[in-house]
Amino acid sequence: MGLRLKTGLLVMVLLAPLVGLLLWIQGSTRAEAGAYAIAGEMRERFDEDWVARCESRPRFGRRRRRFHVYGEDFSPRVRSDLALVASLREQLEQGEETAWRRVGPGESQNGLEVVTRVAASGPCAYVGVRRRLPPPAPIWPILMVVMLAGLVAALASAPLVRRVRKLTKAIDEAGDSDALSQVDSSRDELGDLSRAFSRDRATLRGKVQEIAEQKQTLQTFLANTTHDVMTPLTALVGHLSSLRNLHDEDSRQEVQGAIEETEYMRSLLRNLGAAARLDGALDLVAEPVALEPLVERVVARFDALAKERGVEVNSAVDTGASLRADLTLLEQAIGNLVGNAIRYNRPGGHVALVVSVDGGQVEIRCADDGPGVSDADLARLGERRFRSKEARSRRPTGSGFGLSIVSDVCDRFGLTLRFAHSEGGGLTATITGP
Amino acid sequence: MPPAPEKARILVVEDDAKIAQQICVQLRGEGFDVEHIADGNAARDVALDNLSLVILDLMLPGTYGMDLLKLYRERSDVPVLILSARQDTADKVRGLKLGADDYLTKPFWPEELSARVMARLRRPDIRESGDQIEVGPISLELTQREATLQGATLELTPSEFEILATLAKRAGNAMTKRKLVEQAIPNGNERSLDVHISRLRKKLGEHSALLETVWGVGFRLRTP
Repeated sequence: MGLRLKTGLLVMVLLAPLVGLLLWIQGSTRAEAGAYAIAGEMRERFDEDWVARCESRPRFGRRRRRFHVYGEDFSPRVRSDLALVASLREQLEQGEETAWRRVGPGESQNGLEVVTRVAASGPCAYVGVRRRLPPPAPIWPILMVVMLAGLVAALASAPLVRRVRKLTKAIDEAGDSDALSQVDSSRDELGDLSRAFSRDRATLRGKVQEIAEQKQTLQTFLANTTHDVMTPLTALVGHLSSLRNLHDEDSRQEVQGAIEETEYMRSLLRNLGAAARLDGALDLVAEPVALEPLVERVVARFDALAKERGVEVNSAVDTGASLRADLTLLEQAIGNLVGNAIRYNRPGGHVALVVSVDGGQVEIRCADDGPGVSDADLARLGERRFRSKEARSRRPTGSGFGLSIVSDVCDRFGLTLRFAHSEGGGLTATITGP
Repeated sequence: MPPAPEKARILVVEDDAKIAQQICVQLRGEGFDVEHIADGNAARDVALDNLSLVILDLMLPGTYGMDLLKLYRERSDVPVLILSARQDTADKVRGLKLGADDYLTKPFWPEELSARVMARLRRPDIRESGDQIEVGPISLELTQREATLQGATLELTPSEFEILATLAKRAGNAMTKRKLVEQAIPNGNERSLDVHISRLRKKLGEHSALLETVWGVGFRLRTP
């Protein structure tokens, strides 16, 4: 509903009680006004001559009379007449020249009984008549006026509506620019609104830009910090690896613990880096990624962990298999799958990473024969931050984070990620893509 | 870890002293002849002849590692393994496009580096000359379709020979059952493959362990 229609209807609605009041006043004064008008007519008709005649000749003939005559003491002039009604008599006794009341069949009371004084004294001092109430004034002119008022209001609001529309159009057209191109310069509320909006917009835009810059700074900081930490961590990993080869049985367990923590830190850092990349800190690259060397790298990366856990990792890649994606992210995603398959396995367990090409479809399948997950967990595996209860109770190896990265990477490059139970237990994750 | 192939010479271009030292010590320990250069500018004029592999850090001061890679590629086709501490894919992709053979992201375990180095320098464990393949005690004549085990003739069905030959061509690598069926017995299926494999093992006798079942993948002919 437009603003104009609303204004018109509003005016009409506001006028409705006024109309009601008018009708009520008219209704309540109609009887009184009618009564005095009738009294006036009666005084003209029942003049002195008539009174003299009445006093001398009390009978008025047989024809049906339309009036009743009462004496000074309110007794009927004609004996067969009814006595004057008490309420009228009271009014007259209080000195009123004219007394009246509403009468009528049933409740309608559309009749009037008027008694007025026509002589100072004597047996014919008062005359009373019964008449119909004059008809009420017709209601349609009032309704016409109300509707006219509504129409006028609707028309009068047109310039305001035009200005509001102009403001809306200016806001729409402004799009991403700082301020409104056309500001309503009038010195009234609409002008104020327009100016306030324009001011607000500029402020808001500044704020948004500020937040975007902060986000960018934070992401760049994350990417740089990740990079800065990588170098010392490389050295640390080297030292630990040398320590491991020193064959000191007493310290071996300590070194193993340190290696585990370092490995966890490394995978966390890589995933943080991947998350920053996914959030747009760095530009993503979508290039064909050769999967043969990638799988080799991933398997080599987890070689130490797999040996330590007593898990055998095998891989096979169809010659020339490639997938269009960001190299770092895809390697991280596949690495996360393989890493989880090793971590949540048991000594003597297996992990198989198989890449096969069928037609144009590439399938990367990472299967293990570990304890696997429950049906309920299987359905929730791709969810961000998900980590199965069983896994949570073990070392915090960050698998929930890792899996959410896998699922985000797949989303980003239009790949499909599915989880299923391996044959005979264990978990199989499959990434497929064009 | 198999011995380094014929005392290969490896050039390490890395500015971080600690990491460089670790890499050098490790590779020397594995029997390589290692040369280290820390400065990018000095690395510009290094002689590339007689080098088996270059390990190049992309984040070098002075000459940026990428320029160095370009320079090396113009002068030689020595394999280059780039090291990157960056999550930036563009860098790696550019490096690979400029002719780097492989990359490794820091931090890496020494084992990873060894694996990458060995993959680049790997001499085939199988001897393949003309139409003859030798894998350990097994020798296959591809044209004559003859197989011998330690000199003694192996009586193989055509399918068994094809399966063994297909595995031997990729000895040391696991092959999926699907691929093996596709390449060796196009009319068979995975079930008949299992039957052929178990017969092959019987015929290999004491060397049957060479024909490995690889969990979740398929089969592999193990190299000695």
